[in-house]
Amino acid sequence: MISKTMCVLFSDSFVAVNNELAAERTLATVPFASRYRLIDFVLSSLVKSGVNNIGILTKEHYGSLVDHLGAGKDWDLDRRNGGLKILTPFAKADSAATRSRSKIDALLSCRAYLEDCNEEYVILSDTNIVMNIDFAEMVRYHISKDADITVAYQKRSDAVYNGLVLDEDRDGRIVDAYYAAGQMSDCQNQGLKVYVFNKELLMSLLERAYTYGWTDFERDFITRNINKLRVCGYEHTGYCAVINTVGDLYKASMEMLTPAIRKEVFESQTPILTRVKNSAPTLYGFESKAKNSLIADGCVIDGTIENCVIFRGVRIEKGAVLKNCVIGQNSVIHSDAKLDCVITDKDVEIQADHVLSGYPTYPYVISKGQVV
Amino acid sequence: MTQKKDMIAMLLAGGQGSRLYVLTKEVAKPAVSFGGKYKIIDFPLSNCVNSGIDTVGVLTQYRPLELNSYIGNGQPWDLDRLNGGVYILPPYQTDKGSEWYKGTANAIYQNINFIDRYDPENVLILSGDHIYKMDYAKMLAYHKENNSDATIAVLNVSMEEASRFGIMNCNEDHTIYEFEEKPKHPKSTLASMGIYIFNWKKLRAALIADEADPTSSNDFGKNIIPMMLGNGDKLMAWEFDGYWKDVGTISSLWDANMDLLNPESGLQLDSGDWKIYSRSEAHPPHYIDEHAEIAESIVTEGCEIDGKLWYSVLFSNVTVEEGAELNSAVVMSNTVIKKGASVKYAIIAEDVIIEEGAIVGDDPCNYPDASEWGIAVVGRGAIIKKGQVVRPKEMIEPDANR
Repeated sequence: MISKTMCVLFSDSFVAVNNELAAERTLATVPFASRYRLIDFVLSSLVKSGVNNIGILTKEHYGSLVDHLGAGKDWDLDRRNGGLKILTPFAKADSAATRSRSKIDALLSCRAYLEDCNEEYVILSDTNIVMNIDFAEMVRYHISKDADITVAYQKRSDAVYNGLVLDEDRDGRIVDAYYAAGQMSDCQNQGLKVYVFNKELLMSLLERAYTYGWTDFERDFITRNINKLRVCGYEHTGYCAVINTVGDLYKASMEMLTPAIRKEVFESQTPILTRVKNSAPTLYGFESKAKNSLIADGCVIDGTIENCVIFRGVRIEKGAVLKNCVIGQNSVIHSDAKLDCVITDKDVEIQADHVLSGYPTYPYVISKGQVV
Repeated sequence: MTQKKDMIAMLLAGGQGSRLYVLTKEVAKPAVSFGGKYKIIDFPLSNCVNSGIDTVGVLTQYRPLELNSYIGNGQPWDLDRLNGGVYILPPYQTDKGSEWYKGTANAIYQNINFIDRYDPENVLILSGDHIYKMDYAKMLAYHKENNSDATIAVLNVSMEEASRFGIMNCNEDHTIYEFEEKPKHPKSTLASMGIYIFNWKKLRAALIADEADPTSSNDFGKNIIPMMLGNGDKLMAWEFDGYWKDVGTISSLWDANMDLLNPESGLQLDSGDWKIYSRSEAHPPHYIDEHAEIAESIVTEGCEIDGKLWYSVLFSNVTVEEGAELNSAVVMSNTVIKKGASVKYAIIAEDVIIEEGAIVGDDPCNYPDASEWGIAVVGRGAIIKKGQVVRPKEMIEPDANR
């Protein structure tokens, strides 16, 4: 059945509000866990499940996405049939700005691509989700339930959540789906923005969307049709982190230091594939001390690191002490600097003897290329 | 129609490398792992690409499976090209029968057709068992400048070492007048590095003449170079002054790995302007656990370290459990070193399991008689059982269960 499945991924959240993580790149290409980009997780799960026809919808400043994915070689997606296709915005000079595009607008713009594909089922998914999910099983579930739409969800009690809350009947059919504003303490079924659609149905919903001017994917495609269509829930019980904010990113980064979570995400059936960059191995100097940390290749470590996530090509000089930090690619921490709860983007330089500190719930963030 | 090339490279990768013993029981020498994430052949291949050479023939003969699958279509080295790229060239059958490659020169002779397809002006001959970074474009420029028929890369070695190498005796202008293989009383200290640039027309004629001589051992150093000198061809020595190491023995392979930890050795992998490429899978970043202590060591992707490392080189996916101690050890991919095990002055091949409390190798300080000491080697897939001891110099066969 999976051979009859294609996938369309959303490289961004496609909401009007600017995302702090996606100021200079797409949400899909936010760096994560020393050497990955967020999209690697969903993409690797798709490839492992046997989905080989994958389109990626873009919104704006998607240069980093094109750069990261290339022709899809590193994910085994450079295919003559199917493979990876980056679906760029198609806008005329006088049309509405791409910035205001919703997910529905984005899907409408790739209608021709969807029509050209012969697959019966379409997976629609966000790309800012760290998880290792078996899409083949989800599609099998979709078919076995004779569903029109299947929504992946997880029982969670996140304080801040901006997706749909799903109420299920005993049969697994969704009977209500609504946005729950405000703080939630109870455990609820939170939708992961991962869906399986029958493709024919998706095409007809897109026609309605165009006719009626629908703009909100969750509200208009799911909630509006909940009584007319058979919408089923599919529970993902494994690890899952949805990354929307710096806080989410920091929390999930630190969770990767937990052996059980790391094993589940990286060492279960699906290896997580990413762009291979040929850095040399990491060199530890005579006075280096490292503890409970994840470190990529290409680093030179002469200082002390504890509970840190270190990206490629980072240099940590003698006497520098880093605790609870996430240090971005090619950053340099000079001698005797002290950092605690700091997140740096790429190419950041921290001068000697500087002391910087954030708080676990509010990490100190240093943006790309800054010198402190 | 293939396009004419200025220079193509032929990489001799057929040797067994018998002095690497258990490490080359199952793979050819160029496929032996090196430096955390490389194989020896990555060095000449990357040098080619970085020097602007886009066509490389790799001559294989001994145990080619690993080498073939490693090189594949050449994509990791950017050698998957429409015109040119990397080709694996094993010996083959013809209507006149079939022959193994009898020597280095014969291996090239048997592939004259391959080289002719590209109609190159010059051919670069390389061997697959040296660790070095070299810009062959500079050597080619020198070759052209001097209008040379053959240019041989040489290294200035010490007088004591000179008798271990093929020595080029040169005039002041670096023209070679004599070649001596491992001379007892060397007249010069310019050692051949086994890297040659030949004018293809001249080499082609020399290979055909050499093949017609039944007494020849079909070797570049022993036969082709002396023949060309005899013919009055112009042979030049091109001096190289960077890091270069023949890793044909256990101790030189271990030394070269240790050189990576010494900033003064001249061997640096991370210099951005001359990258060494390798085929690597995407492993997760390495993880350093609570009890780990690491000094002067190299660690790469997929490793999980909770033990102590000094002066060690770890390849991908190595696990070092709590209380295990590594000193001056080279540990290849997927090997597991369990609690309390000790690995010192040793090379451990891929997929090995060193069980709890086992001891492999020892510090030379504990051996006043130097002849009793040497690097301990454990072959691929072997298991060293709980509490077992592998003494210095000892070699454990691949897949052994001890």
